[in-house]
Order: sequence, then structure tokens, then C-alpha cells
Amino acid sequence: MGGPVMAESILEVENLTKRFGDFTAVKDLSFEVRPEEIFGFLGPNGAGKSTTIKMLCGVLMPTSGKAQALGHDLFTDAEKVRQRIGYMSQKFSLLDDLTVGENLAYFGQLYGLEGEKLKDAIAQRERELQIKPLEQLLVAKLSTGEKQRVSLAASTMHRPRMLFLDEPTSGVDPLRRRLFWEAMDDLVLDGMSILVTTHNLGEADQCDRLAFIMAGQLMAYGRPRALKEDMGRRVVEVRSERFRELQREAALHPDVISAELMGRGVRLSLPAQANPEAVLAHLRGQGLAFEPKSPELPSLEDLFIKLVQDSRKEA
Amino acid sequence: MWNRIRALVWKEFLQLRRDKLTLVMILFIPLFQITIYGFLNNDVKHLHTIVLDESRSQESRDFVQAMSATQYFDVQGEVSSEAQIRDLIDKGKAEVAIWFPPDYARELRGGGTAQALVIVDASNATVAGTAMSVAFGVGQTRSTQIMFDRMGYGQATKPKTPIDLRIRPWYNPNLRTPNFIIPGLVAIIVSMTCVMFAAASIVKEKERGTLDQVMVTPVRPLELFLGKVIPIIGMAYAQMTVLLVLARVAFNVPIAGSILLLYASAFLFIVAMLGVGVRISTVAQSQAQASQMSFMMFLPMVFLSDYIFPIHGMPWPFQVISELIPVTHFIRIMRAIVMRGVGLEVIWIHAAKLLLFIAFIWTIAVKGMKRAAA
Repeated sequence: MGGPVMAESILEVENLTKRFGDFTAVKDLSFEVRPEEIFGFLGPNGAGKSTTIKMLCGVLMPTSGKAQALGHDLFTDAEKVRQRIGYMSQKFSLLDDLTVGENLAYFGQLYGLEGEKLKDAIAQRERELQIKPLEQLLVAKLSTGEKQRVSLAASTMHRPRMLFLDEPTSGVDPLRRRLFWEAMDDLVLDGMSILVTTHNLGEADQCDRLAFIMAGQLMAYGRPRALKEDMGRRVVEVRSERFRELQREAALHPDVISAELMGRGVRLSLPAQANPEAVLAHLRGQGLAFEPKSPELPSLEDLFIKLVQDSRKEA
Repeated sequence: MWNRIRALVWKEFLQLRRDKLTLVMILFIPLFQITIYGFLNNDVKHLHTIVLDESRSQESRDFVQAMSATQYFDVQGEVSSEAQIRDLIDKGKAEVAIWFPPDYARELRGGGTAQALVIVDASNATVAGTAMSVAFGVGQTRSTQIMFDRMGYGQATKPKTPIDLRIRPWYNPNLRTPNFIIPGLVAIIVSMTCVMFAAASIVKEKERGTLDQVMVTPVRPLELFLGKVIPIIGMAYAQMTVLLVLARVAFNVPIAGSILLLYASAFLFIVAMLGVGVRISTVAQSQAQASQMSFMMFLPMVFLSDYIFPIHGMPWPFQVISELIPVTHFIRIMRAIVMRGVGLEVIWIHAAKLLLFIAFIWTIAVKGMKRAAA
């Protein structure tokens, strides 16, 4: 991270719009991805995440809007950019009936690698992603976690500067998920920028910056911490034997935005300007005994739920 | 550019090598079909024949002898009643019966008109037609001979037959079925490969989403397209070669004309049928749909292409459809080159019609591809 190139952006998206007939899948989307960052792209199912990625990879033409990657216009100059971007789709679009080694060779060749260069690239990818032992296996025989690593290897055969990952970790266990993120960190250290879509808010927290989109529109955009601060809330978790009564009482207090059960405790959302101690004192006054944790920032889950609820109210 | 196309073609062959079922189908369908159609005989010689001879004379035996000599009738034996004739024909054990009444020889000797009855099982019209015309010919010949004898001509002074009608079946002197069927079979099998394969393999990639992964690479649409069609063109030529070699070796069907011209005109046909396959792939949503649509194409191809049934005997709307489908023209080209040994001076008109079809089908196929990409 850091370095003198900070200011320049790798990918700049401006007013990107895609309509399918009457349906607007993506509407006036603008954001940028900076060098050597992991940029998280979040949103509920059907929010337009995959559509956006497909447009940015040149698989789908936008209805209107502009996008520049690595100094080239993505839509008019696509051929120049393709050699320098990579894409891994939701479905791990490897060829099932080819072996891992054949898949890597195939995609490497499509990116213009040949002979020794191709062999070196395959060996390097296999080493980095620990897939050497799978080389002779048919892709159809691999587990989801293995497919995911082979997919990442295939889509980075040509060492792209900008990598698009569409829900790369859906359907894999937490351990594999963590290994995958470590692999992504290695790629970033190597100078790559990554745009990744995910449903997992734990993963979103690990991103350098985030964009929340809903119904094709940008709802929130920035560093995870800044987004949480911008929500203007504090969260206090309290544990108590009488957690149900506590929840009921807390919900009645005018300063409490929401009170949710969490195991044998309650999670209270308060406006940032409210005094948590005053709220807690009030609850103690009701004869409820509990031990509070110190107030903290809301989680991305809180933000996600708030955005979804806000958009429902509007609708 | 060529490196990427090579990679795409190489991948298609790897996939094909793993797909044992398809591989077997590509090789065995032609072998299977050529074997069936090659041995298929609509030759009606050696019909099972029975005789009811109530005349029991030299004259009746002479007539049976003359019938057998044509090789169309194989006398299986004699029966003793009309009921037996009915029984054997009913059971399908005999197809033809010859019946001489008791006075057959007496009438002949006395200078009168002797009657003989030939019964034919006409449930198969082709068989019956041939049997009747051959039997009629034998009867006429015998009558003429006997008439000369009655008019008292000796062997030396016998008058000449006024008309000596000689028939020469050109291009296929022995009237063998394989010579006629195999050129058509090549056309049908090649078109099956081109249509089904192109449609199925493109739709399969659409279904699995593997096309998206390729579209983000620097591969250009034209390269992707060539990578898809080159292997299919290769397969079509391989099948055609297998069929023609087999036809020569196993069925003794030689190629009378230029092999180069044959392969060159096959290219036009392959491109035309690929267009049909690509067009189907832009419409079909699933592999099942693609194969149903391809299958729909085959009925008109088989029935209206002059492949087995002569098109000139059909009502005019069918003749129009026949003109419009490429298989008809390729079958004509094949027969012209393989059987008649003629060249460009004859086939150019069919080649031109194939070109017209190519222009038409590829225009709509490309439109379909553009719509699918948008």
C-alpha cells in the first residue's frame, strides 16, 4: 500500500447505466478503483453487481456511461485493455472436461503465452495457489474450493493489473475462504488491483474500500470504517440473564433505534450523539442487572440492513 | 491471431477426445448407415414362385422354364389346388403363382388361344410392378415364337423381329442401390454433423457460461468463431472421406469424376449447413432445444432432397421446398461427380445455388449472433 501512485486510479466508472427493455439493471453508477487495493462490491442479490462486472470486462455493452481502465476507454478501446484485466466469473467458468493443467494452458494461450513463458506461468500459478497436485485431474472432479483456486489461477495467467472477481468465495467453507483471501492479498502485494463482489460482510470488512449498490444504484461508497462512522450510530452490547425483558424495556427508550437479541444478550443501536451511559442508567433503574461492553461502531451488517430497510420505506 | 485459434481448436479436440459417446457417434453413425443402406436392395429378383399345373404338359413346363430363366422368379414347387395358392400367398410364403388350366396344351396344339394366369402379391407395389411387367414380357415372347411356328416358318426362314429394343442403364449399368444411395448418404451425414455439432457445442458453452470467460480474453469474435467451426469442418471432411473410402472398398462404388472438385464443392455445402447450425444456436436456449431444432431440419432433408424419393413425382410445393434446401443441390453435385463423372460445366448451377443459400443463412445467423451479444 501507499507509494507515489496513490492518486492515480486504475479504474474509473462514470454514470454507467444498463437497461434490459424496461428494466434498469444498473443506473448512473460512478466509482473508482485505486492502484493496489481490494475494492469490495456489495449488494443484495439482483442488485446489478454481476451486470456491472460484465460491462467492465467487456462481455456486455452498457446502455450509456463511460469507464476507463489503465488509461484506455473500456468500451471503445476494449482490445487494448483485455490483455491487462482478468475476470473470474461466479460460476468458475473452467472447462469441466479438461484437466487443471489443460485449463491453465488453454487460458494462458488465449492471453498469448507460449512455450517456456507458458510453462513458467503455469508452474508459478500452481505453486502460489497450491494446485500442483491437481494438475492431471479433470476439473469436473474437483471440490468447490479447488475449482475456485484453479479459476483464480486461470484468470491471472497473464498477470493482469486489474482483476474482477464475481462472488469468488460463495459456497466454500471459512477456512478455504480465508486461504482465498490470503491469495488475493498476495496478488495485491504483487501490484494488482482487485474488484470483488461478495455477500459476506466479514469479507467486506477486509476490503480497502467498498461500494454498496442496490437496485442498480450506488447507496454508500468509501472505506469500511468511514462508512460505519457515517451511519451516525453507536452500538452497545449488553449481557443479561433477563435478556428478553431487557430487550422490551430498551426498545421503549426514545434514544434506542433498535434493540436486537444476540445470544443471551441484547444489541442496542443508538444515535452517535446520544449518551450511552444515560440509556444504560435508565435500564438499570428498571431493576435489570447486566454487564455492558464498551460502545463501538456499527458493523457493516448494520449498515447493510439499514440500507435495505431505507430503500423499502421509500418504495 | 493464429496462436489463439490454435488454442481454441486444440481445446475442442481435447474435449472431443474425452467425450467418448460423441466420438463413437461421429465415427459409427456413418459406418452404420452406409452398411444398412449399402446392403439395402430394392432389386426384386428371385421372387418366390409356385406353380399350379393342371395341364401337365411339355408346353406348360416350357413356359415355367422361360419364367425361371429371367431370374425374377424362383420356382419353389408345385401345388395341387387353388386353395393352396391362396394359403401360401396369404402366409407370405409365395409372392407369385402361375396357374395353367387343364386345356392349356390342347389349345396351343389345336391353334387356339391358351390361357395362363399369373397371380402376384401386390401388397408391395414395387415388387408387383416388376413381376407383372417381366411376366408380360415372357408371355409376349412365347406368343410371338409360337405364332411364327404356326405360320409354318422353318428355323432358317423365320422373319426378323421388326423392332429390336435395347435398353442401356447408364452410369449404373447393374442398377445397384449403393451407387445411388451413397452420394446422398454422404450429403445427409455431413449436414447432420454440421448442423447438430455447431448448434450443440455453441449452446453448451452458453449454458455453462464458459463463453463469458473467453470473451474477456483478447480473443476476437472472429477467432472464437473460427476456433469453433474449424474442428467441425474437419470432422465433416473426415466423415465424408471415411464414407467415400468405404464406398469404394466395401461397395465398389468408384468416384468417376474429380475428387478435388468433389471436396471443393463439399466446402460450400459444409459452410451452408454450419450457417444453419449457428443460426439454431442463437435461438435455442438449451442443448435439448438445439437438438430438437436440428432434428426438425432432417425430415425435409431426407424426404425432399431426391435422396431416396424422386422429387419430380411430388406436388409442386414440395418441389419448391426441395429447390430451397441445400442438401438437394449437394446431392445433385455428388451424383454428377461420383456417378456421371462430369465437372464444373454441369455442377456450377448447383454450386451457385449453394452460394445463394450461404449468403442468406449467414446473413440471418450473424444478425442472430449480434442480437445475442447485445
